[in-house]
Amino acid sequence: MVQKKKLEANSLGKYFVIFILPALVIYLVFSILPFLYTVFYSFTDYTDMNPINLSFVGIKNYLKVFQTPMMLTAIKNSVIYAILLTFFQTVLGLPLAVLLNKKLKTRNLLRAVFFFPAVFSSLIIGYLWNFIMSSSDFGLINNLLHQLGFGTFNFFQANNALYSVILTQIWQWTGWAMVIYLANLQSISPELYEAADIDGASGLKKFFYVTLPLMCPSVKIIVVTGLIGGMKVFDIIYSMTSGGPGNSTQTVMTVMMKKGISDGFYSTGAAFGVCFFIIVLAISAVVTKLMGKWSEAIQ
Amino acid sequence: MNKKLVSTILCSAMAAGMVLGTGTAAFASEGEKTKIRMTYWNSEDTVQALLDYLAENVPDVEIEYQFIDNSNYDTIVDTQLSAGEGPDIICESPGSSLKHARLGYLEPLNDLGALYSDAGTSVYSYDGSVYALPGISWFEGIYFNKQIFTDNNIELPTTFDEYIQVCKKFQELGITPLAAGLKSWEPMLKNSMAFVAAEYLSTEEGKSFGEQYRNGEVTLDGTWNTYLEKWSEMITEGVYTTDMTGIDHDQALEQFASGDAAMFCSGPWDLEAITSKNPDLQIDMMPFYGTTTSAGWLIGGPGCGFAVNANSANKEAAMKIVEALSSVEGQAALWENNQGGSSYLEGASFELPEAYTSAAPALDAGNVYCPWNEWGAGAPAHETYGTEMQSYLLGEQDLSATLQNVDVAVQELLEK
Repeated sequence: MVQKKKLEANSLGKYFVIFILPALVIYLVFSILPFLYTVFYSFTDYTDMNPINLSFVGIKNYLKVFQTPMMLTAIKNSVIYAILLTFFQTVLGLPLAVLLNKKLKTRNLLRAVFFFPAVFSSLIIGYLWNFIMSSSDFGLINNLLHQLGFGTFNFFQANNALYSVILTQIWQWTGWAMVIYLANLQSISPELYEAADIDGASGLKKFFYVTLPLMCPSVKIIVVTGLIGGMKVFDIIYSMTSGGPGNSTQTVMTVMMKKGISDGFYSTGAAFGVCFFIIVLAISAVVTKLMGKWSEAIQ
Repeated sequence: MNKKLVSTILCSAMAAGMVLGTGTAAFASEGEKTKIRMTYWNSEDTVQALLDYLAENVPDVEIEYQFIDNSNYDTIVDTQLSAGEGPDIICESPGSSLKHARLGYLEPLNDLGALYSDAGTSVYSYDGSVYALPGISWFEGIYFNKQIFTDNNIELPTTFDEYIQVCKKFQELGITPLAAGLKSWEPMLKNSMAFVAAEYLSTEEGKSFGEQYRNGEVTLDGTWNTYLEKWSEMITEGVYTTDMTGIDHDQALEQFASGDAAMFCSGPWDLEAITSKNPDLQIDMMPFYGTTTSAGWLIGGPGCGFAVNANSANKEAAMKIVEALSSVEGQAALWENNQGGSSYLEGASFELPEAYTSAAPALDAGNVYCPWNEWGAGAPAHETYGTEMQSYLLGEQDLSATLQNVDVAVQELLEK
C-alpha cells in the first residue's frame, strides 16, 4: 500500500502555483495591467476626440499637471484633508477607546453611538451635513445661531469649506478608529496594568507607558489607511461641495473625474494619476518607516 | 456501461434542446418587434407620453429606455460609442453632438432636420449636415411670488436697473429678494449670461461673438468685462451674497416655495416641486432684463437633440422613431411631459401654461438663448465659467482673472 505524502504548508510545490494563480491573474488583469496602461497613456495625446491614433508626446502631460492651478490645488487639498483627518481620528479615537474600555454601565450603548456614523455611506453623511451646515434658514446650526442672536455663519466660504468637510469626516470616522483601538486595547494583558498599579503608576502614566506603546499596531493601521483613504477622498466632496465654491475643495479624485474623464483629457488625467500614485507611495513609505521605528523603539 | 448510456442520453437531450431552442427563436423572430435602445439624462417620466405615442404609432419597434444620470452621461455614452456600440438613439447636448459628429458616430439627419427651424438645428450641425433633431426647448427665467409683489405694491421690473431697485425694496422690507443656491455653479452662470445676452449678444455687434469665440478670434476677457461689471450690481447691492454659497439648489427652492423669498431663478423642471411644496403659492415667471426696456431674455435652447447611432445594427428602426418624432403629434407627445418649452418643428406650437404668463413676451419674441451652445467644442467650459463666478463673488479674484480662466478652459477644449 502506497502511503500518501502529507503536504507541508511551506512545501506545496506545484499546488502553490495552482492556488495562487486565480488571485494573481485577477490582480494582474484588474490592477497591474490598467496601471501600466495608465502610465502608457500618460505619454500620449489620448483624448475623447483622439481615441485611436495616439502619438507619443513625451512629458507634455506631466508638465501640464504642474502648470494647471486646479490640479495643484487638488493635490494640496487632498494632502491637507488626509493629514488632518488622520491626525484627529488618531488623537480623538484613542482616548475615546480607552474611556469606553472602562467598566461603564452605558459602555455598549456609547460604543454603538460613536460607531454608528461609520455605518452610513459618506454620500448620505454629506447630504445630511449639507442640511445641518446650510446658510439658509433651514440650516440647523445657523437656525440655532439666529435664535441666540448671532449672525449667519457660512461653512462653505472658499477659506473654510474644506475644513467644514473635514469636520464631518472626523465626526463620521473617529468611531471607526475607536473600534480598531478597542480591539487592540482588549488584547493588552491586564497583568501589565496590575504591575503598574503595584509600582504606583497614575492613570496618565499607565496610558503613556503601558497603553500607548502597545497600541502601535492599531495606530499603524489607522494612520496608513487614513492617509491613503484620505488622499483618495471623493464621495464626501461630491455630496457636500462638488469641489466648490470655485475650486476651493477640489481634490485629486474630483479633478481626475472632471478633467480626466468628463472633459475627455484622458492622457492628462493619466499623468495626474501617475503623479498621485508617486505621492501616495512616498507618503506611505515615510509613514511605514516612522511606524517601524516606533515599533523598534518599543521592543 | 450505464454511465455511458446516461451520458449519451443527456448529450442528445442537450443537443435536441439547443436545436429546438434555436428553432423556436427563429420562428418567433418573424413576428417580433425590433428592439432598440434610447439613452437620455432625464428620467423616463419626462418622456413617458412620447414613449406611449411611439409604441402606438411605430408598433414594430420596441424602445428600451435607458436613463443615465447627467453627471456620468457623456462618459458612458462616449465609451460605448468609441467601442462601436452604444444606444441606437442618443439624446445629445449640442456640445456632445458636435463631438460625436466629428468622430463619425452619428448618422446625418438632413431630410428630417429640414422640418425644423434653423434656431433648433444650427446647434446640432457640423460640416453642413444636421446630426440631431431638437427636442422641446428648455428655458430659465425668474419665478416670482405674485402675492408678495401685490401685498407690497411692487411693480414688476422691465429693466435691469428696475430689477435692482425692486430687490432693494424687498431688502428694506426684510424680505429676501432672490433665493439662490450658489453652492451650485449654475445660478450665476445663467443670470449673468442672460444679462450679457440682453446687452451684447443679441445686438448686431455681438451676434457673431459665439462663432468668433469658437474660432479663437475673440476672448471673453476684454469683450464681456463692461457688461459683467454692470451685472456685478447683483453682488454689490447684496442680491447675491457670499452666504449663499452655503445654500444648495433644493434649499433655495424650499426658501422660495415657503414664501420666504420673493424670487427664484429656475425653469419648468422645478415648477412641480415648487407647487407641490406649496400648492397655494401664486407663481409666475419674468425674464431677465438688460439696461434698456425689452421683452426680456430667457436662458435656454434646444437642450436635448435626438440623434441616430451611425453604427447601430437597427438603424432602420431608429430612423422610424425619429421620423415619428418629427411630426406635430410626436412633438405634442414630447411636450406633454415638458410643458412650458416650445417645439422647433415647423407648424408645432403649444399653449403656454399660466405659470409663464409674464415670460410670454420674451418667448414670443424668440428671446431664448444659450450662449455656450455657440462655443462649439468649448461648450463644456460653461461649468468653469460658473465656478469662476463663484470665486469672483467670494472676492478671490477680479473679473478679468475670472474671464481669463474661462478663456483658458475654452481654448484647451477647442485645441483638443
